Amino acid sequence: MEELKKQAVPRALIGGLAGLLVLTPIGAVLNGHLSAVKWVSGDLAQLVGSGALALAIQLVLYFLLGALAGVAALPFADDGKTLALRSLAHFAATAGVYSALFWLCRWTNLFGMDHDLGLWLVELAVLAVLYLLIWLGRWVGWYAEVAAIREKLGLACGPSLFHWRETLPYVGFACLFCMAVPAAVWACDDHRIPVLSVLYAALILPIVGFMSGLSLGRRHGFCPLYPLACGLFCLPAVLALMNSSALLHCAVALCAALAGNLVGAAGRKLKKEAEMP
Amino acid sequence: MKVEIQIDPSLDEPVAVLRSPSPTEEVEALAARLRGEAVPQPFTVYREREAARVSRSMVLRFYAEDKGVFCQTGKGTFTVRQRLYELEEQLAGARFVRVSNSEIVNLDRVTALDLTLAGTIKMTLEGGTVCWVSRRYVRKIRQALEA
Repeated sequence: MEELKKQAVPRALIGGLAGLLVLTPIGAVLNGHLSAVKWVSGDLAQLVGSGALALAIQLVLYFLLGALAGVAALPFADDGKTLALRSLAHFAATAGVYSALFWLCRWTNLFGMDHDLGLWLVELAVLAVLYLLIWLGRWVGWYAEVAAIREKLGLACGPSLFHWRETLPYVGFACLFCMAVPAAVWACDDHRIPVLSVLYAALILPIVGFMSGLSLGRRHGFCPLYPLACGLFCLPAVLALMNSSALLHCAVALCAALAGNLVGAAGRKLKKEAEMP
Repeated sequence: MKVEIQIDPSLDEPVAVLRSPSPTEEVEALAARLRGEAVPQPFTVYREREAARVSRSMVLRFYAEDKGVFCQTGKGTFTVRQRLYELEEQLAGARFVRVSNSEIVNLDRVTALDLTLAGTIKMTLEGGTVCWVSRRYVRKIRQALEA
């Protein structure tokens, strides 16, 4: 913990100062709702009753956001539960400080249109995706480290990155099932009463998605690329043959394959544990 | 031990190949002597007040648990009187490496390495013993393997 503090304090200070430098001009543009430059948010000044206090609050929040960015890499130095908890806590703190700025300064009003909640949610989603991408990048780095150690120890190669190689045979099946089968169903269906299409979307797609994911999970463990492939392969069929309301097919395929894969991976893990001496 | 000497005029210097069905203390000592190294001293371990000698090659790992330090071999687990940091110093330069705050493993006994989604490295030793490698020790492991 002492080591962590030693690393965090200088990073937070440098990050905080950088935050002030970078966010002050950006904030000025957002305070003016992208049509003027205002160093202090009018909405915040009105709320607290003083321009100087509003400026101070804004600068503190810029500093905090910068400091959080400065220590962003630290949670990823750990692993396991500590990594998950620290990165979640960091995300919550960043989202909290950003939300405070967003709502206090009313950065909702852009180009003369008040986007409010929708814009805030989209921005939080972008922040969450950013965290996922950082985690993904770190994971690929860890994978390379483990592969290097494995090689030096003379051990057999482990599973491929995100099990992509193990997933390949199933991708062919997913391609056929999510692209060719809906096309065949659509061709055979009565377009006034699309019984086959409904049957495919409501019954066959989730069941086959689940079972194929289950089979892959039982053989190779958690393979995150397979559910993604199922969801993506549904997209061309939906766009070419149906309307946008059928985009739900993608979500159904993705969720069913993911659920099946998770169940299969859990079963495999339990079986392995039971076989352990 | 069966000893065989083959004369090969094409060689520039003598080459010794030791073949053994398993890594034993005798083979390890002989190899060290042929390399001109000091013979690694076996560890003194304890079980129910009885002392025993265990060669380095027999050790799977040393680990700390409930204020005690233990030595796990293929034949069982023994108590060790040294602390982990003392063992780490004693084993410096050997194929032993600290993988977490509480474990030192014999790299020659590692059978698998796996990475979890949360970045934890699962290390499996002979006989199915599982250890968890702390990310903070990964650099040390790489350095030990490069040495």
